[in-house]
Amino acid sequence: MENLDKAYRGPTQAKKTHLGFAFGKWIVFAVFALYSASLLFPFLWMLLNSFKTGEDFMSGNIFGWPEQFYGLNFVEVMTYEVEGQTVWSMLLNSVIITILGTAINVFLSACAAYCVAKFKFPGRRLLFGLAIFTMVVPIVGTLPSQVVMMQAFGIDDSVIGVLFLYSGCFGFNFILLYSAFKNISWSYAEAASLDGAGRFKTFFKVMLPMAKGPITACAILQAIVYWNDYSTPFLFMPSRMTLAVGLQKLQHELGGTSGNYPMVFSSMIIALVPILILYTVFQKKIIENTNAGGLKG
Amino acid sequence: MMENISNISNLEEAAPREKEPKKKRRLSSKARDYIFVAVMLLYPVAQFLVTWSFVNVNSLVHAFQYADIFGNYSWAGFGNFASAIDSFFNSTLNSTGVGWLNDTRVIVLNSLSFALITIFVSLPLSILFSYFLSKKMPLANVFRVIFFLPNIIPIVALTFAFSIGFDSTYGYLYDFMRWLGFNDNFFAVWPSSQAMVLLYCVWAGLGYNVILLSGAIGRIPKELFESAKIDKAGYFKELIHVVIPCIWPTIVTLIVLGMTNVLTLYLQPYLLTGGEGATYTISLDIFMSTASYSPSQYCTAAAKGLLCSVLWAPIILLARNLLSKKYADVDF
Repeated sequence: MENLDKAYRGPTQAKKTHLGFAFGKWIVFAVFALYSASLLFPFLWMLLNSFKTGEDFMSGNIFGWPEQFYGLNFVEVMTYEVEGQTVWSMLLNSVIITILGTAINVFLSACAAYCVAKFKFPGRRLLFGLAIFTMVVPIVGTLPSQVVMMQAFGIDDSVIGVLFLYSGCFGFNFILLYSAFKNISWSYAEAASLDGAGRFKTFFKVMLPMAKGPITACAILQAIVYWNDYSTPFLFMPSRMTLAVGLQKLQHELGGTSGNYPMVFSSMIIALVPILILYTVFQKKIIENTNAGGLKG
Repeated sequence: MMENISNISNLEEAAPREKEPKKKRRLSSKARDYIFVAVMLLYPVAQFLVTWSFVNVNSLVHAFQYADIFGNYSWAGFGNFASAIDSFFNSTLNSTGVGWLNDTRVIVLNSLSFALITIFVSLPLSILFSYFLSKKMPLANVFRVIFFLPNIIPIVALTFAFSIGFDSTYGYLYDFMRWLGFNDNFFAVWPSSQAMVLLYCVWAGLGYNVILLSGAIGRIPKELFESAKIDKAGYFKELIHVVIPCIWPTIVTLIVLGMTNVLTLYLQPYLLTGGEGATYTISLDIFMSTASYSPSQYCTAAAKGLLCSVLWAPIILLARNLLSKKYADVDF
């Protein structure tokens, strides 16, 4: 097709156009490279500086190699206390909240999605419509009422409270798992039923394993969201800071002109490592899933 | 013979009479389906109804109430709405230094600026980025992975990595900014303080759009590109006449998301500036009222939120409907 095209335009014009295209492509490549560098540089810069002593960094050595590689920043920051909590305990809170929140949210989303996708019952369409509606229509100003609700239920400032909020499952995961279950043939459930399996056994032993791929993808993305979540733990679990909330306090406490920036940088790196590992391992799945979640207008 | 029969009869009498097996009442398949669905949906639906109805009803009630610092509520009618509107038109508080503004107007202006920057800067850039990424660009997959990074990094770390660059003592961009002629206080005052937040949003927000748009471009049938090639369409013509119409539904989604930013965006200015330099947005204002844990502020926040939703949500829906009509028959 390309040769035909060239022949049609004549060799000189084709060559000129090709050169123009190639030149344009390289300009775009340079822009992409520059933008990529702008995204990577701050973190590489922080990583380099996290190995400096406070004195080394504050003496003005902000771009050079460390006078000596000082790995103790990572150890010291773990035992550093902010408002009575160490970074260790923040890390632990983040791990607990992320694992439990993800498990609860994805499991409940799968239960709800399976029912709506595979069973006919009154209100089925309404549930699906509500899930779309709550995702699309922004209702602002309800945050104070959320605080009042948590206080009324007696679960404010608690892990249970945050998990209760995370257990709301009519959102993105519901929509994604709904289409995943919709695409699984019902004949598997019928075969299981012939073998004597009930509804629950069919769901747990047949359908859930068959939707393993989308469920894993949802779990990874949800884990990243909860690990990074700032507002919910900040408002509803203030006395048990997660790493995302604690980082900001650390930044204020250790930063500033008299502060120890290398320790702030090392705390940032600690918060990034689990996410970067997840991203490296599941990068393809994360991007594909984000793509699949791009609902059309 | 008779004996035998009687024996048999005796035997029958002697042996304990086996009870006839009771017929198990089996539920119909439909009933078992309903029970299954009810059990599976019990918690998800209850959680949704409780949180959604409580939060929205309570918020609606709060909007029409006053509260003192002890949490005693009283009926306010439209008082909270009136004072919100009044502060927009008549407030004399002005931390911007710009004569025609006041602190309420600048909040609205800042919020609107996020929609404008998303729709008119981020989106066109994302379309261009994704288009060229689809053109067998060297290292295209590496770029895609890097562009997506801001979406997985904690926002606290990302905003810190961005803002530390401008720090007057240790910033990695500080010397460059000085060389460009910016002074130390440049980003401390409005509108440049707001410009920094907007710059951050463009910088950090491109990746997500690029992933969505790349997916949409990937779904365009190859024959359309080949036809464009036969028609001697260059990059620009191909983009305008083939790509954009084909990915229009995704573009509309991104425009709608950009418009919802007006009501929902608060973490970026909160973490970058803490609201300093007149960078408050509508939802940052509400977030700060919530974080104060003061009932009196809850009521004004609820009224502001309701007022803004009532004014802005129909505009979003109208824009979505109008935009969806263009290239309505295209869907890849």
